[in-house]
Amino acid sequence: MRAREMTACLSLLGLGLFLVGPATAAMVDCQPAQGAGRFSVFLSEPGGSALTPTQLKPFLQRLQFELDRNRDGRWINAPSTDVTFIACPGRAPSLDGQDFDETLVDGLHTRGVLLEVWGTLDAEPGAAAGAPTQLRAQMNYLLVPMQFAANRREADTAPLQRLRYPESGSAHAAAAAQDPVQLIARPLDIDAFVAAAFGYKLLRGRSYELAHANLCRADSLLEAIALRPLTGRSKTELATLRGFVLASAGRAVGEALADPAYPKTGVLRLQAAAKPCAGED
Amino acid sequence: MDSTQDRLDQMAAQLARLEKLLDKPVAPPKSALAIGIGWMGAELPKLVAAVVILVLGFWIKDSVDLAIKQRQLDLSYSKEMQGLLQKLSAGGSTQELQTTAVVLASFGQAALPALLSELREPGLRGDAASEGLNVLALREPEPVCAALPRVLSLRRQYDWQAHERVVMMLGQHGCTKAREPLRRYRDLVQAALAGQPQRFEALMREPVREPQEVYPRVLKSVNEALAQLEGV
Repeated sequence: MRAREMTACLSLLGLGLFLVGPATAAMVDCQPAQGAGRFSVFLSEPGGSALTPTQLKPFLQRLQFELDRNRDGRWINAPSTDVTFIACPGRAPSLDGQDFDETLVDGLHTRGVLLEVWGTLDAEPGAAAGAPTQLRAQMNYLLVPMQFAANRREADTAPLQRLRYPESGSAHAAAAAQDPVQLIARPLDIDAFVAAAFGYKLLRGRSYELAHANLCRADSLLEAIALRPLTGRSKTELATLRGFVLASAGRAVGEALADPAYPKTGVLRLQAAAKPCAGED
Repeated sequence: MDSTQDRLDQMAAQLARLEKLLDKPVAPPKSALAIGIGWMGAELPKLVAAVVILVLGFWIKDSVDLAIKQRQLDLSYSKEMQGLLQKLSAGGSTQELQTTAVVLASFGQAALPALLSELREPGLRGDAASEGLNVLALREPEPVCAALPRVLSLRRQYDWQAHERVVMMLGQHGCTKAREPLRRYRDLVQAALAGQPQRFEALMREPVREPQEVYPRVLKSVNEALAQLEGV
């Protein structure tokens, strides 16, 4: 009887799998940096027509190398912390971010992933006859700690940021139009989002001073991004994120002052929660 | 004269015997069982012993047959599960891993060790194992409820994320016998929150990365599970 039930159960499962067909999303796992104080940024595969499947892995490796080599590291590290870029070949989230359900985000958050970057990369024919193809990208940046807080209804922000490259008329556009790595590896953007996610993550862990420094740094970097000719959703989402970052910086000051364990000589005692980033760069 | 007296004495004696006979109860007729028992005499205990051995023999043979069949089934499951385990360890998308874990769970109790082993893995594999255990608990709650509390007391085997998954499953599946292990585990988490994390950390496979965030979170999960079990 037991064996018969088992066979029926397996048959039903098999039938179900047959009817559902192969999975289209490819959210394979990616190993973050291990160890206390080590945080990761996942670089996932972009979709689109610009790269063939065989070009994806070398592209990600080049992107990782470029970010590691060229980054200004404008977020603020403590001696005990480190942020590492991780190339994730085979990991291709859907463009709308639907793959990031609560369980997945929870797993990323608890393993110290700050940011996941992915998107689409397309090659368009040049305007004039014989002109080289032009690359265009839409990149998504998921700020994992913010998404985690939003899932728990602890924060109202815009954890998924979308930016298009190249921006029309920018000096960066011409140089980057032929090279996908140059097109995407925008240190300012990545630094801004890393600083924001890192700062909020540290705030949740009650590292008030480092959190405050990163959140204020993120605020100034996000301000610089907002000066670009952004439109529509990208603009409003960026403004929402910036507001949240500034509020979180104020929260860091307020919570530090209210915490009996915070040192009497702590630098945040010189800050006002209403203007938390006054005097910061 | 004497002869008359003698005859009278004889008649009186006969009358007395007759009266005695009339006073005695009449024995009822013997039943067939009594006749049988009487007929078997000393052979009866041997017959009873033979019958008992016969019944025991049938019962033992049945149990042994059943156990052998169960072992054969387990062996056959192990071979089939091996492929699924290799598929899990090879990685894959969220959907692929979860589907594999659910199929693994359909093997029933035999899949429990494999799923508990997979629960050790971080990331998508751990998530998939958790889903498999949830499915198994829907079908066979007793073995799952019996096995899970032990996870909370093993040293250096699981990380806190796996512990939290276990805690939530114990509450969600109404594992009432897990109340006491959960209370003991809560004591450890509370001690860690109060600045004495040694005993809690001694259970962890990896050191907790962000204790300020993790301890309150785990405590909240344990309290939720205990509240769910109070209502059962």
